[in-house]
Amino acid sequence: MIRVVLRHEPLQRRILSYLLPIDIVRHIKYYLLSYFYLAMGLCAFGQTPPVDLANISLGDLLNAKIIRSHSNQAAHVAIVEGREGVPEGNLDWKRFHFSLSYIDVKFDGYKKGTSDLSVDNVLWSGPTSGEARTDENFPVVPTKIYQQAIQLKGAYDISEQYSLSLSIPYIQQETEHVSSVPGFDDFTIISEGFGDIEAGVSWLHWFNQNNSLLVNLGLSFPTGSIDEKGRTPRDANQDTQLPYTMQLGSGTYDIKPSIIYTGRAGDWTYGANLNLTLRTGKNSRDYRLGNVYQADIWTRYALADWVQPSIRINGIIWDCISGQDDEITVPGPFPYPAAVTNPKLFGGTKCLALFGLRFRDPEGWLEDTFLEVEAGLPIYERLNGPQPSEDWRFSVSLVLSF
Amino acid sequence: MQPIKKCLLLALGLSLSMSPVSASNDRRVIEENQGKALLIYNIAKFTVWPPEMAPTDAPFIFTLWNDEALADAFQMIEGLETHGRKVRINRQNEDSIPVGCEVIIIPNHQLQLFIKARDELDDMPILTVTTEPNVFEAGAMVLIEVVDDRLSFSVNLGAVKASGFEISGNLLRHAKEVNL
Repeated sequence: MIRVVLRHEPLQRRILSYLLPIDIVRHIKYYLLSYFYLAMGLCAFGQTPPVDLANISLGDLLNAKIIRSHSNQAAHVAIVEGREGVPEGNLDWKRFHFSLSYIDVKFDGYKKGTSDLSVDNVLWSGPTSGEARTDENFPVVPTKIYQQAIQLKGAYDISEQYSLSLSIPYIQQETEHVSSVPGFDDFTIISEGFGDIEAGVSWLHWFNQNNSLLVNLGLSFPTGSIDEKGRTPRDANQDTQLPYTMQLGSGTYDIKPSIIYTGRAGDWTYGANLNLTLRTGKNSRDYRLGNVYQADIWTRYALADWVQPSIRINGIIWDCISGQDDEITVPGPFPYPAAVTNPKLFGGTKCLALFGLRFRDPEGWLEDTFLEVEAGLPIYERLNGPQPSEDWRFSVSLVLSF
Repeated sequence: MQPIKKCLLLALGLSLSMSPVSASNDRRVIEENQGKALLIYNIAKFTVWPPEMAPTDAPFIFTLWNDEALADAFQMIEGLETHGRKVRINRQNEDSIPVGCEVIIIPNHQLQLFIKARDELDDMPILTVTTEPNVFEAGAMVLIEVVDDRLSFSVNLGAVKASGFEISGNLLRHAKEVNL
């Protein structure tokens, strides 16, 4: 009986159910946090024993990247302070870092909990069809959502431990719809513009030559528009307010703390990240997007000096929207014309598997520059639905330091 | 999408089962003092001491002259062997001239004392090493530096030979500067 049910489930869920007990799947958010702590514990594993370091060849030693010894940083500062005109720090390092990223995410299909729903399941066929209208069917259904962003990020190292950063995203979103509203059988809405600008300060701590911790505190400013309008079935004659998914910003000041642990053992680099997005207050449209809690574990392998494949498991938990934009509701017993206009049909838990390749020029002035390509898809999703389900995501980033 | 998902999951499995068998590639990250300690240890390994060197059953002593931070980093090589002798780290926290060792590491704040003791040290089979250009210019035999986040070293070959040392040509070709 169980086999019959599983045969109709998506591949990733079937594989997951073979690999993990069902209780683990149900409590995946706790396990994601456990993975994070486990990865933090790898710190000890990643340390290179002193005997190993003592056996390093002269060539490797002369080629090694030297970082400041924090154990005697006070002594260094004292020495440097005694010299006029010498900048703090006696190592030459690259203080400016820039990255340009392109991110592409596609949503296709629907989910309620972990169950797939078809567009027909979610589309209410209209008053003449005889189909009953409920809280889970809608006259307007987004079928495919494409989100693309170009993100420019700059960072400046104030010292070897502290950095300042600024991130500016440019977003384009496109949503294809079907509807049972006459004249709007299928239509597409596009919104684009700058998103929320984020400023941050980072503190980097090296436990030893192989293990480091980066603590970042970011603040996102409500520079992205929450007043995007477009032609929707709500009014065929003029543009009206678009749903939450088509807006470019949160409209609130958001606090974004993160902790990134990175370790290294031989040709392997690995790490764990914990990123939070904590919304504050409500925006001018009287709603607040849900908080986002993300954890990653990842590893990268130096296959050659110019290419490093990586694998990353990304877990995300996000809350539903608080409050409501009344301008996207309609009068009557069913105020939400589409699932994406109901603030309670946001939030959920998902886990993505992402595969990446990092390319770098090991020599010359491009030594600290790399190009990273990453693609992935969800292996687990539990959504407060009906809610559009992620199909895949892709990103490419160019990172420069000088 | 199903074939892509299958490929991705296969790639995940392969990546997790890969073992680190290939040659090392990316640059290794090393703390500055540890790197300096290791480089000084390697230079000592590639140096031939004059015949009047201490007997083979005596320890091979690196003396850190009033430099606690660097001395801490040197602990990693304590007990290793070089020239058939066990390495010992000697922390000398007095201003008197360190003798009875094979290598002495001279910090910047001991420059004046080093200048006074230079002639006396030249007559002993002691390799004088520093991490400060001032001390190197004042006559130390080897300078260890960090340049563009890499370790480098320079050799005052005239002083080295005058004291009866021989440094391997294989080592010298890695030197940033060799003063004759």
